[in-house]
Amino acid sequence: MRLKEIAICFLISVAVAFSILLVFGDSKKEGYIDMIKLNDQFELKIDLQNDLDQELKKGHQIIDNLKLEIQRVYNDSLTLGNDRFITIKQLQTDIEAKTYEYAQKEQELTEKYNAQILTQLNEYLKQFGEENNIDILFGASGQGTLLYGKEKYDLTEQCIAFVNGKYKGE
Amino acid sequence: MNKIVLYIIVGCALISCSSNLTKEEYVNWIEAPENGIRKVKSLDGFNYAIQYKPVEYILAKKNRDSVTVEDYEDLHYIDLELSHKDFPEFMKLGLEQKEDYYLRLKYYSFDIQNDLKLIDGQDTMKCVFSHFERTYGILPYIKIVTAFEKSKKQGGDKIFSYNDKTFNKGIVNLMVKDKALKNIPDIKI
Repeated sequence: MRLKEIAICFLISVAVAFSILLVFGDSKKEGYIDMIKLNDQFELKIDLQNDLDQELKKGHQIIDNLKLEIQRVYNDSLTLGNDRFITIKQLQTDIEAKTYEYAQKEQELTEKYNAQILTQLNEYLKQFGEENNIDILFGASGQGTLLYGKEKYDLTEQCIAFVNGKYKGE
Repeated sequence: MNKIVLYIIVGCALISCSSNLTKEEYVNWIEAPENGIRKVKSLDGFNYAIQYKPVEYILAKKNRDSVTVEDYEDLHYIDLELSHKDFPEFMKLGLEQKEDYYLRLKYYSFDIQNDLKLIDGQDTMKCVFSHFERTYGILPYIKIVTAFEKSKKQGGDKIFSYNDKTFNKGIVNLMVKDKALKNIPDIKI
């Protein structure tokens, strides 16, 4: 009788374990990431933003110097005569050319850096999914692609740490 | 009692001697990616690999008695290997015109040095030497031998940083952890 009870208990245990495996064994791991936060805290983006700011600063300095030069020539023209207006006109043309040049440079650099960020981010996100056995990863960008997600599915912080670690070459 | 202590000491000495690697074993250990001295990163099909080269490794590879530890101990030596998973002829990858090949050759021979740095602990060190090893398309990768000054503060992780402007992949960092460097086994002399 005792042996029979043990056998029944064993069979029930096996059945329960099997059911659990059936229900949860194939469960999908999903999550979402706040893409804006990820982009803002991705260290490559921060590094490149600093580079871009430095470049723009150089351009602004050149343009500011030209503006000062116009002011100086204008002040001279008040005392020395109107022939200085030709120089002012030339300086204004220079400013326009420089402003255009740096606006173009900014656009080119921004496009170049965006491509670099996208390449690296895509690679690291793929690795993040693979290494954490994630089946589906959603990107929330505040544009309605993800309307709601419970906090437990928010993998943003974990992802930022992972992506920055990969960027550093860990 | 004294005998037991003696046996323990001899035993420990034997164990420690046996952990010393032969020259070949040592080279293989350094080159095995799982030991963290060689690091690899893939981005969009491009492979970036670095091999940190401890002095003993350089001497073991040179296999010459004329070179000594002192000849190499002032700098960090790191090889950079670049390849693409689908294109064995890396130097010709994505060329738009013939002249671009020579520009690329010039870049890897001379100018790449400006796009390399080593973050040694807290300090950022400039690349003081780079040499493009010509393989004439025989190997599926290109190799650039580099050297960096050592930081005055010893220890700390080493981050090799390459700004890949040629293929616009941005700053590619590869880290050799201080822990991995401290784990390097001794070599049998």
